[in-house]
Amino acid sequence: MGFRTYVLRRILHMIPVMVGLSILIFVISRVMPGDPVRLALGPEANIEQIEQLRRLMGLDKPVHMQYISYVAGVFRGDFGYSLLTRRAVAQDLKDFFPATFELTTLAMILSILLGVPLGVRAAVRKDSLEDHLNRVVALAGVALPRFWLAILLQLAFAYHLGLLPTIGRGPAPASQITGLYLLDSLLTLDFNAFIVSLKHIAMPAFALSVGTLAQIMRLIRASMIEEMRRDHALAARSYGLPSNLIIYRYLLKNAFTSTLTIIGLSYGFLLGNAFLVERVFAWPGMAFYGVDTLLAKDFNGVIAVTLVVGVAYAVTNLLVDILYGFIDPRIRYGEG
Amino acid sequence: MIAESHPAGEPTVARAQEWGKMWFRFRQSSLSVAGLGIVVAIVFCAVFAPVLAPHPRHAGSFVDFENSLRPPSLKNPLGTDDAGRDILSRMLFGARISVSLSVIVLGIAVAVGIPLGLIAGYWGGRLGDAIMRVTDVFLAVPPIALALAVTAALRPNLTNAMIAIAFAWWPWYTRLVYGQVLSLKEEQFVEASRGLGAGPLRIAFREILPNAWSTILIKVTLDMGFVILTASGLSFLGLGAQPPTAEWGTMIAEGRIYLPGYWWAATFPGLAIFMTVLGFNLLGDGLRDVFDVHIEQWQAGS
Repeated sequence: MGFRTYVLRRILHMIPVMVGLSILIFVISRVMPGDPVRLALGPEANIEQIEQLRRLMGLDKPVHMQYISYVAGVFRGDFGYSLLTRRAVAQDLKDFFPATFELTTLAMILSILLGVPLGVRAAVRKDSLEDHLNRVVALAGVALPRFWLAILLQLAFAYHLGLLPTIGRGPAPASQITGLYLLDSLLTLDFNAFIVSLKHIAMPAFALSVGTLAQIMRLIRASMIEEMRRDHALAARSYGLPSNLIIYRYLLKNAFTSTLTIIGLSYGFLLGNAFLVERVFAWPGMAFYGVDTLLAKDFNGVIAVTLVVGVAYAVTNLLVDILYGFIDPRIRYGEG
Repeated sequence: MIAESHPAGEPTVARAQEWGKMWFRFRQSSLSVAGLGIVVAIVFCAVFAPVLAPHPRHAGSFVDFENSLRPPSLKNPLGTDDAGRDILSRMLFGARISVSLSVIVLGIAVAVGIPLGLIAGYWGGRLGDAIMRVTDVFLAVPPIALALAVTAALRPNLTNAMIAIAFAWWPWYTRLVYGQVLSLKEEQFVEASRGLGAGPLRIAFREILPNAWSTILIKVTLDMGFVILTASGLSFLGLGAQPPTAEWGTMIAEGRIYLPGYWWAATFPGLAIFMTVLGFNLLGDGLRDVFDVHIEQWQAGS
């Protein structure tokens, strides 16, 4: 099986999973007790108003018909109408998704930038005090409730030290290109705006990243230890190559490849934890919006957010697989 | 590990020695022993909360506004919350809620996930394919996101949070057992058993499953912490346990309103979650080393 066929098959495999997910979420949303329409219109609404909105939203049709028209809508980029924000869900997603994407992506970058060197150091100094310390930190990172860590960070850096803003994303840069504040301000060379955005995103991104950081650290440590035992490491050492060159140039490349596989999966957990971290920092992202739609029983919003999370997760995993194929030719040529 | 396959008379001795060896290996790591200690302490707190708590009545809807938001003192070692309730007492009762919730969720996940994984892995075929496809759908979103979506359909309370999390958790066990079965079913002892005329049910449940127990046990131990983490997250968002339930996540959400002045109300319950999850993680890690099983932490849903 060639690499291209493999990627194609992966994409084809995504389709039934996404269809299944949409059915699952759709069915869950339709068994909701209570009438969301009534909830949205408030106690003052009369029967006609309620009936009108129901018709408008297609809720008077049988469930399978509702599903078919929903899916048809999704293909046109129409996720229905949000009872919470009183506008198209697609518009809400367009507004809120970039904030979550920026946050989770930065958290991932942070996890890799901190996790990889720390993991390497722990491996090189295996069984030293630093290694043990690293292990404790790594275990703590996985066990920390992200929302609690977020609160502790707020207490320390915002309330007591006054170094960082407590909540929010800060003002939008003057010109919006991608909707990612950090990227937009960089693209327009607006460094003041960049610093402001960075200050706002620093705590949420760090709070979100600790778990992934810890996992990457441990995995890099384990695979580096394995790599260092292998013959080619010994050969390189006996040639008298400097140990830093061996470690970072030759061994880390192999160790990182095996770590790559968990990165796609970790992205899913980052997305999941974003629901908590965005709440604490009032980060105006999709997860924040998602919880609002949940509390308001705004099912069009709930379905859309869940589907976007599912797609984002699947696409990340696919991208990681493709990247893996580029790094490790055994996969590309179908030997692995 | 499986005594049934030994000739009569020997298994008890062999097994006792085996356990002794395992316990010895377990003790080699001080972190594992610390994990066991934490877990034992948490379970102890959960069981004896009414005896240990200085103010057992404070766990429920008790109010005493005269003493609200008092800082830690001798009378209230961890301070009081906005309704004047002793935080330490509430945290002790919180252990009850978290531990029992986690046990029930994982009980359901194991009871549903393992048979499905066995069927899919051992019998395979169309039914197996269908099971794994459904599992894929459930695994297509992170567990907390799926649990959240389910809570939307239900009234937010503790029982429903439990249902929602179990709903999102079983597929992890199906996938785990499925993988185990696929690798075990080609083993010689299975072949031998088949040769002796054992039926598929016997092979699946008596030959293959016992060999997968250690892996399952380790995952359950690790997951105990992760389920508690997820449940407290749901409660923190207002989609799980509701006030005045002494659930750790709910307590943090309630205490957060009074930051930064009354810091103790939100910070101490978080410490309880952290220690509990850490304890189960350390214990799970220790068991993994003892049983020498390859199961990575990232395979558990956190």
